[in-house]
Amino acid sequence: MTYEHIPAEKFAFVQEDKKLRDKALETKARGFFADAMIRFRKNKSSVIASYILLFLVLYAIFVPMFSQYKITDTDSMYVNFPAFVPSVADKGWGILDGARVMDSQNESAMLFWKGIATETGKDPVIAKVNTYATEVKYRGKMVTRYTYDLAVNMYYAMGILYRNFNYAEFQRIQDWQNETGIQVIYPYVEPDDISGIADRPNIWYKCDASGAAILDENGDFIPAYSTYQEKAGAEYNSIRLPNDPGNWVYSTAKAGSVQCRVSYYNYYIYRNGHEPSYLMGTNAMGMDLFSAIGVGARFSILFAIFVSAINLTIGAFYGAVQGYYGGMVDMTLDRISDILSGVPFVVVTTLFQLHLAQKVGVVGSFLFAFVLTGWIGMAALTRKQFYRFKGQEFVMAARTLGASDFRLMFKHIFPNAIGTIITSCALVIPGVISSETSMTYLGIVNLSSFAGTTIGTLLSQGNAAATTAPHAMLWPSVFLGLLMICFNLFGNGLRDAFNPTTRGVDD
Amino acid sequence: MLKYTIQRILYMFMVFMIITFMCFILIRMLPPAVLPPGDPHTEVVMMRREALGYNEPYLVQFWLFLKNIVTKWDWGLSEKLYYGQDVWTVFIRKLPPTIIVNLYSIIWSIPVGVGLGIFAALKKNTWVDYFLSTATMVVISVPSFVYAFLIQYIFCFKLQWFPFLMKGGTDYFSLAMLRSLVPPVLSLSFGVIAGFTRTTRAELTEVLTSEFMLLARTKGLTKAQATVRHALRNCFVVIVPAIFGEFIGILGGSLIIEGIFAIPGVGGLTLNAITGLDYNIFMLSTCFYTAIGLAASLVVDISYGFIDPRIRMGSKK
Amino acid sequence: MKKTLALLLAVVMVLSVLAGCGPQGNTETTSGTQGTNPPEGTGSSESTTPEDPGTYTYNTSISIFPSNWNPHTYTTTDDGMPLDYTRSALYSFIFNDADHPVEGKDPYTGYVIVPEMAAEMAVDVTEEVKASHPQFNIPESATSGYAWKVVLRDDLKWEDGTPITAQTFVDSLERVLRPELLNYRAYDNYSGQYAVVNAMNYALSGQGVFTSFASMGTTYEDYIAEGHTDDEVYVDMNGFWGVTAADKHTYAKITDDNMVRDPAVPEGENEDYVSAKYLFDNYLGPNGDYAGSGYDTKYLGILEFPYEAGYSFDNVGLYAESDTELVYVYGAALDGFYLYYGGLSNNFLVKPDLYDSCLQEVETPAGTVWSSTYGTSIDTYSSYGPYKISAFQTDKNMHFVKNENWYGWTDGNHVFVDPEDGQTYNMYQTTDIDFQYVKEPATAKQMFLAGQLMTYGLQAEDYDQYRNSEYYYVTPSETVFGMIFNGYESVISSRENSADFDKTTTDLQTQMLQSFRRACAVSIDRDLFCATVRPAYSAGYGFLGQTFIVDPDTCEYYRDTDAAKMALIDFYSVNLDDYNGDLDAAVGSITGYDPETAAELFQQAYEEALAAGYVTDEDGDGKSDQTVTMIYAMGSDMSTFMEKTLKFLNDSLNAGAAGTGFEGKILIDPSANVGNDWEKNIKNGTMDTELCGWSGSPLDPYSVPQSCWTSDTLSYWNKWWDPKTNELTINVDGADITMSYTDWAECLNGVMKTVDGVEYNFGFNQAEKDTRIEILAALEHGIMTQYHLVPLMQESSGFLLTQKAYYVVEEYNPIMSRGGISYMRYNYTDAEWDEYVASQGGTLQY
Repeated sequence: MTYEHIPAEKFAFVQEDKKLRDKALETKARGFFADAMIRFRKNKSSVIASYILLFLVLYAIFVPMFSQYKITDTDSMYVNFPAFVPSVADKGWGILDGARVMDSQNESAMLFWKGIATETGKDPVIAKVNTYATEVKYRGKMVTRYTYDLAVNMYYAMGILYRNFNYAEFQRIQDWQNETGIQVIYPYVEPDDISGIADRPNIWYKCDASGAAILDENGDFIPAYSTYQEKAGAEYNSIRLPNDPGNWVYSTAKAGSVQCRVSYYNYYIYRNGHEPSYLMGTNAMGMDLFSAIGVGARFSILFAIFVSAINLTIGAFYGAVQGYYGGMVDMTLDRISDILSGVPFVVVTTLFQLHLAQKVGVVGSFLFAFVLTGWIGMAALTRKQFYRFKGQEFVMAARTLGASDFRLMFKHIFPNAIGTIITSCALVIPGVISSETSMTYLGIVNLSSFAGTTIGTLLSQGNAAATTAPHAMLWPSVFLGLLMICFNLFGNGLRDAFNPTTRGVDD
Repeated sequence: MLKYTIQRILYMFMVFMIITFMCFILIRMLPPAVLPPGDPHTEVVMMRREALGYNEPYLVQFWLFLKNIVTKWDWGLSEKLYYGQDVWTVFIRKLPPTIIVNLYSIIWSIPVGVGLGIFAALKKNTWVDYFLSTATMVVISVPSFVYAFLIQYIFCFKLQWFPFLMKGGTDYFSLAMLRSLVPPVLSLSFGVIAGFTRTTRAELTEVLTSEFMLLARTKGLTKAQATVRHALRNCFVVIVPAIFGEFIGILGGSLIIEGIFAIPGVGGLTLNAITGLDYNIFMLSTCFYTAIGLAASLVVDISYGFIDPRIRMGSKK
Repeated sequence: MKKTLALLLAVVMVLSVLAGCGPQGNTETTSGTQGTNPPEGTGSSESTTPEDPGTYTYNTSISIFPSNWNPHTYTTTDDGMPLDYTRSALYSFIFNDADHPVEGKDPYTGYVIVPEMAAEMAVDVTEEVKASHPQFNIPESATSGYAWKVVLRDDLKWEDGTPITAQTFVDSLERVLRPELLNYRAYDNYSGQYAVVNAMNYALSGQGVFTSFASMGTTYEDYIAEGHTDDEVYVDMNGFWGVTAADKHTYAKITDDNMVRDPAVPEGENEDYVSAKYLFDNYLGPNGDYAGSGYDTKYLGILEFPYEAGYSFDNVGLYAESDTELVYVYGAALDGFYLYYGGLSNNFLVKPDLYDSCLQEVETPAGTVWSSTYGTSIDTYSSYGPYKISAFQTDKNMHFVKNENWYGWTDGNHVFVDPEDGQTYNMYQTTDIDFQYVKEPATAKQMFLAGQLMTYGLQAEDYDQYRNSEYYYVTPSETVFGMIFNGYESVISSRENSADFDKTTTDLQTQMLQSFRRACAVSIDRDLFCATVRPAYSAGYGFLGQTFIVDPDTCEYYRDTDAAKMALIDFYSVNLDDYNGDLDAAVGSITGYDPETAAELFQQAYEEALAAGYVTDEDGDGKSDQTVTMIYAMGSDMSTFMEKTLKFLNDSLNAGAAGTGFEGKILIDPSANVGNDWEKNIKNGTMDTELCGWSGSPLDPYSVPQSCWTSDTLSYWNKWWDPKTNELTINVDGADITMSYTDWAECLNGVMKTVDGVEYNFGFNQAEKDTRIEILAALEHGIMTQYHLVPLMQESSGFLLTQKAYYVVEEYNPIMSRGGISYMRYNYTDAEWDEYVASQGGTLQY
């Protein structure tokens, strides 16, 4: 079909009397970043990651702030103890009950736990998980041994401990007992009455030399509480055990102090004003893991961000100059970075620790170690991007138009590289955290005196007791893993948003 | 190309010397180790120190250090850990286990890592891809000692599939040895595999979206043919060098792994030298790790030069 | 893991310092690696059980791998480990059993000394030797105890079958003592009361001995005034300045102006190079800073050469009369237990031809030095004990198999009577011993539970779980851990004066006050400290640990003697009247923790510090403006263990000071990791405190003071508290005797001392046992009252023993331990064991 013969009258002017103008845009103008934000929001995994990240950061900020435990609140006895919240533990749901499964518990161990339960009223045994009957040769003869896997509440299992108090403190505890009705001090047991065993305060009954209980004909414990009034350390005028005939002695005299048996659980309440309650358990230092992770993460994240910011700045400039100018400049700068990158990181860290730590502190020298070689990757990346873009037409066009080198570098080429750089920056952060973790684990640096603790410190502390207290390694690992995955996803999202042409590519 | 290669080698040697020099000075600046009194080795070590010019300027010391290495291959005596023993002898005795463990991990990590990477790239944006990407990230995130411990606990203790420790002896290729090396190799390779998976996936997805792939498809190749013939070949530009890069990373990782699985290698030696402040061993380890690192980057450079002349180093534009 | 490391490190340091302290490496006697030789005519030498064809492997792990077990040079017990299995002794200690009854003792509660490499018990030949060998200078008056003839078995062989004769012993002693070799273990063989006569003359021949003006009782001026010249005066370069110079690297003539590099001072700074003349002119000489301070006489002196060069080994008191007859001549009379424990137990045997081929001569500018590779690999070592090394891979594993050339497998003497069934069994049921290097305790634990290791040393977190197990054992130890406090006043003051810290907030000098150090000592609740940092340990109160034995016949512990109890009671100021004179009750009441006294002492220290101007109280709130800071010398990186320790100590001291002028004003501040230099820093006073351990020879506590107070290198505090000049008065048998600490220590070990014209010798066999114990207790009390070191913990270790094997005797015996590998019996052969472990699903219940 052709339109060769359209009559002229068919044509009409759209407007004759009005001036033709552009219409004002009805939608709001979108800048580069706003545009990126929109694209970012479309990427669901990144959005989720950024929320988790936000949550982790908030955790790091607020948990240590509002936790009832400070990083310095370490309990010397509750070490590597599992998660425990008394109110939840009472429900018997099998969570947060301070349970550790102990294998190899024989009959004498069962009696030992029963002894604690009988005396303190808190039964450490939560459940019998397994029962084993083993036919084994013992001293050349076949015997049958019965052992059990027990779930034991570690907080209750601590039971009674010996403590030395000065007289004033001893009286204060008694006053507190009278006030609250919670019994801290338990009757004393003379070691001579329990086969000379002086290092097991939980034994309050007749036993043999190995500490195995000797029961009466009814299968009950035979109390061995001290009745030697002349050995009493100080006057005791507070709560007595219910079955106390009135002559049990509650302390013994030591030179200059009073020794008594205290229920550590109640003593803890006396000292802290609340029951022990650890959402994630405690670590090897007796810190509350829940807030320690927050403190550790705070340092790790700040340190990592700081390191990557410095590295990004140095690296971007360095790489830009290298990539843009090429030739001798590239050659020379490359030699320098080659030399620096050739020094193994462990060596750098060690030497810096040995030389600098006393002058600028452990953290300072560690930071230097990271910065010394850390920017090289960033520089290489920028350089690569510059090589990729500098020969492209739009750069040539700009060059033809007389743009200065600086303008070409940072106005024309750099924005093209920014996506990659941001992604790798987000990746540098987890990298720094995991390097820090390794170095702390290896014992080459120790940051805990500066930062309270770090994730790396927590991990290496947890690793030492990994078989008995897996939670001490689990939670820092989970936190670290989450943090890194989220940083990665977040970084990817940012990169896609800034640089839509490379969506789905992560290099 | 030959000229380029020779240039690179010479240049790397120069870099090596500079690094050695820097580390040497930094190490010599530390106060020398205190020696046990009344031990004959103390005399020897003191004499050696005197001969090595501990009181001379550092440049002279470095010169003596180099001279001893070049003329006598003498790296000094251990002053703490293997008191009075020749550092090189100690070191070389411990080198094979480290090399072998790293070699095994690399050898099997490459196909697995690259394979997973290709798989993920081909299944891009499906649950397989998401799963692999996430798993990769988890593995990279968690420090190697965490899963080294897990591997030991699960495979050696609970399942009892493998022995706890590396087998003794020097029969590095015997079956029993291979079996005992599975846990450390596995622990080391996790990170490497994840690294390869990630690199391969990234490169491949990029290559797969490029125009020449479209061309390949339009001229009638099947997706598989196009991927194998065109895409893979291209993404090896990045992967091959990465292999050498990983070799270094893995040597670093083995510092920890060697301790856990009792591998009598140089990683543990280095670590002990650091914590025990045995400077001569530390110096030798430093040189070794530096040399390995440089050698790897040399191979990377040269292979880049071979594979993709566009990004030959130092070329103008 | 870190905890163990820190402690291990500490222990190793201690052992390296103090293991050489005991007159002999006594690991032989307690580890029970020797066999037995029942008395003639028992007729029960045939084993009643048929030989089991299976193998019995003793699998165990170590975390520090031996690198040098040359019996002449090894320094730590970790290094010496292979020696435990590859050596025999002339005589050995075995349990008393039905075949070897000991009067008044139940079986397996005592010990019997039996010939091992010897064919019979030693014979006293003092009279004969005195007549035939005048070069040994046996005193005219002596009739016994000086010379002992040992008849050797005629079937002694090295692992390769070459015979060991009496001459081999002589050749070995010559090698360990040979002056140019400077063997570390030579000291064990030439010093102390078990030394072979003239061994010291040979070992030290040609060596110079520095005598300070202080010990000569003169001064530099007086010495010169006597007509001597500067040329005869020497400066103790190492002692005073910590640098080594010519002449054995320690002493230099003041005319010598060779500059010596001081490694402690950075190059280019003042005093980076010093010479003896420089030190003399600036510090020690009449115009120096230290003129008249006491340091001048201590570090200036003369060098004498009392040991004639080229001394002949023929004069050393060990010779072979025939291939099987060996004569030992001692410098002091020996008899009974100590003859066999200290004298004849010397185990220096090396294979001479192999030993010589391992010697390397190193030419250095200053002369020839020797080093040896003997005992560093299979090829450079030869066993003559029950086992030999069959595989060795550095830092990996070490495997021992039966040494078929050991006489003991077939001689029928190495048997014991089982206390339970009364049957006779062969010793050494173990056929193979396997050591694996395992770094992580977690790995060792898993391997143990999987049946692959025979023992597992419990970690802190394991005690709750395994304490009730019938496989749980406790091994006590002689090591005591405690804190060192800095007493080097001149150094502390100079540090304070040259301080680069803020003097308005920090003070170092207060720690010089004894009241302050005492206050610290009683502020620490030792029980709580152990519970916090080392649950297996118990509180330690004395300088000497729980396991020292004063009387091997009765196994009487030193700590159980009245004198030792009184030393503690006095030291901890317990009022004996409160306990009606009951020593046990009084000792039992000691916790070392006395908060009331602590507060008093801290307040007293505060007032003294104010008066001395160490601290100020500008604002008049009754509290010090300065924080008293003590630098903790870190010998390792910060670990969980160290963090807990430091926190505990800081909390304790500040709690102790609550309500006094130092409340919240005490700080123990960790230094950077200084590695093994912690020791140097402590000795030089440049750092202040340290948690460290010390031990000694458990069966000879008397040797502990000697090794600590007669040797400058072994003691931490000799630089600031000179035991040669500090005196102690002890009431011995009603007479007050005053001697320096060094003299007391030597006198206790058999050296004659003259006080006010009266000769005293409190050595073994020279004085009553009770007298010696009293002196020992007085010395212990004396050193503790200086508060330079405060005992805190008594080491002990709990371990689980495998179900595969058991010790014949379960009770720990202070002399025999549990009999070691010779008394180990197996429930299962290796094959049966694997089967059993598999039947249990691979994980065992303990």
